[in-house]
Amino acid sequence: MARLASLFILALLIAACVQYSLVKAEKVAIGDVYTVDAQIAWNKKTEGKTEIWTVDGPLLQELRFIKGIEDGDALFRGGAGKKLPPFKSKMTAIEIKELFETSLAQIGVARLKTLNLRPESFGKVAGFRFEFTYALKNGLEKQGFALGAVIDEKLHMIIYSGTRLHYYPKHKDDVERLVRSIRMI
Amino acid sequence: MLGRGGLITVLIFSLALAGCEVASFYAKEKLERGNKTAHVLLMTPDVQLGEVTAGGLVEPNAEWTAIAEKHVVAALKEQLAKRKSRLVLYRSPKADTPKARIHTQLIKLHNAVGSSILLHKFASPPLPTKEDKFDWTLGPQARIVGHEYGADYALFVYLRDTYTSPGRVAVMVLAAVLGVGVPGGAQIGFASLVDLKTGDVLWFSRLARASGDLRTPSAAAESVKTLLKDFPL
Repeated sequence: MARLASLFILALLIAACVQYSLVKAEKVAIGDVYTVDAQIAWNKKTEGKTEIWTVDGPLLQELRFIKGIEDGDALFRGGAGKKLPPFKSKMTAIEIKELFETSLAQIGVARLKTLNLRPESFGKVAGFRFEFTYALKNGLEKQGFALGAVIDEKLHMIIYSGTRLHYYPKHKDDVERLVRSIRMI
Repeated sequence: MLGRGGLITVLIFSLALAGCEVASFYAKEKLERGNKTAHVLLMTPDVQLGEVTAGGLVEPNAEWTAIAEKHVVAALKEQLAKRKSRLVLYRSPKADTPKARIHTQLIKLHNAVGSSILLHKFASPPLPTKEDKFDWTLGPQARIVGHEYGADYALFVYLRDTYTSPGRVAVMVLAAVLGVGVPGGAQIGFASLVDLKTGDVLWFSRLARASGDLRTPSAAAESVKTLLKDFPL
């Protein structure tokens, strides 16, 4: 019951603070590091150094741009009382994938699997990519992929995820075209 | 991350504070079907009744909940019959088969879709791309459920009904004397109608009010009638 009361307060705070803005289907600058061609219109909100785009709501699908986190920063917000492990600027692709896994595990997702880590260019920069699947605490299955690169000792990532049924496949092709359109500024 | 039950309960509680009794969104205001009887698959209603304690917390009551579930299903059958529609009751598959897993995921997906509609259409923050649209869906895999039951639509119902305990009444009276408003019991919930050919959410209704009672057949019938006020069949 105490949990319900705290969730109630949390939801009101979230609703009061967060606003979405429109991202048009055109070339968009992600910070001052690169641009992408948005294939469709999205809704955008910002959390610190991260932009979160969605079409149908973040519970269903989201496209996350992590914009140059530095040594000591966490990949995600951990929620109240949860300190997530930090990024280190000398991390390899394998270590960043492990950081992703540890961070999500601490947030509380279940059955997380990361697959097929491989080199992949991030615009003109050498980067990495992997796919992943997991389930929320309530059992709803999600899947996604992450593309990343360390540029000037800062980690840039594009993470697309959504419900395995319908919402991940719905815009996967749009996001694949978007990541192929990365142009460094 | 918020659990599904927690998130939906929280959302509806926050909406209940807004004071609007019932509100709906449609993909289509009226569904055309000629003289054909529509077969509506009632997904297991998610109903819970409880008592608001003096401290303002909700204590679930299993006995009331069991009674209310029966009244809600009976009232839904009656309401659908008036609309030349037949209610078919959903039964969860027993075996852990691939088909059963899709059923489970579709139901969980509906919870996430319902939470998104509540959050972005009824509450805040709105999504700019959805400003003039109501196009949420469960996707074409919903056909699997429709085909299995020979149903045209699926109806999802979520209801929470709380009643004021004597201790809470005392707190409310004291607070009123001091000029402070303290909420008592409330009836909150939502219902949605899904097209089982396309998976599209055709209609979504939210109920939020300080009155109503699901513990007696006649009052439960009134609650269901109110929830289905703008039902498109």
